[in-house]
Amino acid sequence: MKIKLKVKHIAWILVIFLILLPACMIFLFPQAELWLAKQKLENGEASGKAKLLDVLDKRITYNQRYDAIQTYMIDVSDSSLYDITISPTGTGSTSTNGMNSKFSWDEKAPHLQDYIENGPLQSEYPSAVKNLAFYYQQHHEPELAKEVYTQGLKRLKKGNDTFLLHELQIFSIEASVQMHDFQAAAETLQEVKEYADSYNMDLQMQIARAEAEMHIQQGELELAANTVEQLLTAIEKSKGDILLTDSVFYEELQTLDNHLQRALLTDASLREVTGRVTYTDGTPIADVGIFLRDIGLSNYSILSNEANHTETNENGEFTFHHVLPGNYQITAGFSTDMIDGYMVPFEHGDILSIDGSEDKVYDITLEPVIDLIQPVNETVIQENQFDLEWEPVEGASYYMLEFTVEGDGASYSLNLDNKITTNKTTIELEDLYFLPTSIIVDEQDTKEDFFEPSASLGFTNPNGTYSWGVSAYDSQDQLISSSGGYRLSEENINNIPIIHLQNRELTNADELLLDGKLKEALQEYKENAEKDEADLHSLRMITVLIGIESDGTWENRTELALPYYIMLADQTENADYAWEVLDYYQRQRDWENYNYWFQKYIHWNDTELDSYTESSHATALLFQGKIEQARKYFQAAAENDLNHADLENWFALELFDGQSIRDVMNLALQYPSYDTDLSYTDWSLILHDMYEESGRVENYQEEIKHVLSLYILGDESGLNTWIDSTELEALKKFMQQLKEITY
Amino acid sequence: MPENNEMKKKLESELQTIRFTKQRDVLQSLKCAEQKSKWYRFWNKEISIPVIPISTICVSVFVAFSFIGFNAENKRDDDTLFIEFGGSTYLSQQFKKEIGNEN
Repeated sequence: MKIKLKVKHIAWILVIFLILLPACMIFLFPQAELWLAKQKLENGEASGKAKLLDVLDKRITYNQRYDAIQTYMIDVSDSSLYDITISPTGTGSTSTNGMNSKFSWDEKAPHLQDYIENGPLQSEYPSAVKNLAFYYQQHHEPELAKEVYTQGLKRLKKGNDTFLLHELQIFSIEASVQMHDFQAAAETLQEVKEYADSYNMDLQMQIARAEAEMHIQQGELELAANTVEQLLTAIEKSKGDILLTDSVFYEELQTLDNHLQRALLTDASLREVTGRVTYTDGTPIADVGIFLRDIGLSNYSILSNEANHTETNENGEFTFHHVLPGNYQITAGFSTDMIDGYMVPFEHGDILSIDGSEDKVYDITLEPVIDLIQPVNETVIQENQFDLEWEPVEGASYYMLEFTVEGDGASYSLNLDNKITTNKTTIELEDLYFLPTSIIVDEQDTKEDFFEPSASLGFTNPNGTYSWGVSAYDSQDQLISSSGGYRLSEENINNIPIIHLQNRELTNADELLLDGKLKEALQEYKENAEKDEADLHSLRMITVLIGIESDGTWENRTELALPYYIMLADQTENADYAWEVLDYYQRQRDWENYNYWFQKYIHWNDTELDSYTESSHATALLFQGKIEQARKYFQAAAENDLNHADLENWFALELFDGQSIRDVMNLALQYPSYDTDLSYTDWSLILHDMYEESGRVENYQEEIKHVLSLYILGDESGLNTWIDSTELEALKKFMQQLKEITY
Repeated sequence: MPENNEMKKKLESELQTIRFTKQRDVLQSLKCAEQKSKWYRFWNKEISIPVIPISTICVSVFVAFSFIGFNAENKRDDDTLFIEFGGSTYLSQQFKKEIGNEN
């Protein structure tokens, strides 16, 4: 098939093309450059940032310009202002939108200003205003920050998107409070309250929080508490009629309520938190983002409405004013340049506790990562033992090792308990083989997406990939540094600690397991163990897999695994196996066997008892009626555990033993639980309610003694009957919380 | 016939004084007309364009650009930019290069 064209038509087409070419050069070239800049940015190339900044000044369309600013410069969540945020709760998280590092404030400020003045009024708009205003706040330009909010609010008021307007109004109130411009905050608050939809609970909760924050910063704690209480009571009274679409705001409000109640209860004053971020040589680090977060909310990722967020100044210093007493965690945000080659010596569970008696100082020192010497870079270990060596750390009193099973989807790490006093050691492979691995509780576990049969083999898989790391501690048991950190440039990569453990061969049962034939594998492990009771690998694998035969409960799985744990414990004298056995007997309230195995556990355990073991044993003693011994262990646990977790049974013990509620409340105030779980219980508040209730009810102490004796004796049905029939709300709450934790 | 000869002589004697000097112009104009018609013919000449090869080229170019554009949408995110191994965070490309070198 052909088409016919006259020469003159072809000539005309050519002429038109030649006329259009310069126009294309002017308009299409920037398009190509924009495309190229985006490609470079998203491939993590450092030159991409300069390229995009260059293109933004050229002839690209309105949509393209503001779309690029939205994508690469506006940060909707406060954490994404930083390349990497690091907290003691989890490892660091990266947020660079695929770029090697994000745009600096100086680079993006003019474009954000342009966006605020001329950009589209889309969902990112309030964040753009907030971002730029935050920049001015941090650079001591409060007037410019206010001006930015004024501009943004003016544009949104002209538009018709009330959702965006309310969002920006809330941001504006929070910023005004931070800048101590309470008049502006009150005015905006008035406006937003006037027009806000009273059925929009998310908005109402945000308004309440902003209003409470305004009162707190003015030192009016009772007003703040009333504001929060009012809304929480309305939500509670609605009994589910009020729809909470986003529970974060609700959790935040509850946490704030807890803080305020406690502050009012203890008459504690607001305090200041200051700190300095430096490198180990003392060089200050400026522009580090610092978040002060309530531990009850620390499991949530950082959102756009963090109440306490600041940045370090040129001396690396930061300050939070008027902080409510409570338990907090510091999260720090860094650029990739700042953190490359370093680690932040946060320890899991590092808590900043403010009791209102004094201001707090929290310094952060970035430490160089520890370089590993051997074994590294895919070393294959075939002997029964192997040597490890790393660069020594100045001031280190001892080192601890961590080994990781590296899986395709997930990996998990385990610590060896040994404290090593030099920068080299020798490890027996058997010690790694007996580290606990992921246990299958029931068949459902094996159907989860993340389930990998090879993970069940732990360190005994000769085809597996493993890694190791080391942490250095000082004589006060404080973490100095570790090998795990940020190795983002070529010079900081050092040796990669990949190792392969190949001193054993896969058994037939192992092969079946790796093929996903778990039942067949378990059967074969059992047969192996029957033939040879000293086949420790098969015994261990039975305890890992036997959950597939359980009815889905932990109790049933442990019951099935018990004889194998006993065989393992007797043969290896490993305290971890003794723990599994005694834990079973404790749940069964079989105190004779429990005490027998606890003695074995103590005997085989090389290290000092940790606070969890102490409080667990104290609870076992309490349930046996050994009050004095139990008290001794609870006291030790409270002193050893900086987080004061698992002390609820101590409070139960003291009440049962006849201590006044007020004394027990003071004990709970002295050892507040710093559990990072969202549903953590503030025992002092419950005890305070009980104290007030006791004033209104006769024979309250007798009632406490009665119900606690049901609890201690393990009479669950008696306890349930009491809970269902009692009208003593505070005591009921106390017992419900106890029951939930212990049973 | 003698009349014709007569006429011819008469005409020749009458035209004897007239000389035709524009032969060149005539020839030139004839040539011009010929060129014009040539150009006109060329200008209006029809060229056959085979649809299948040309459309194949156009479609290929379009597909190639679309493919590049489509790939551009597949953004590289943090998960692919960074990799965590042995407790450390690396840039994926560097990490893979380093592992490759060791092997």
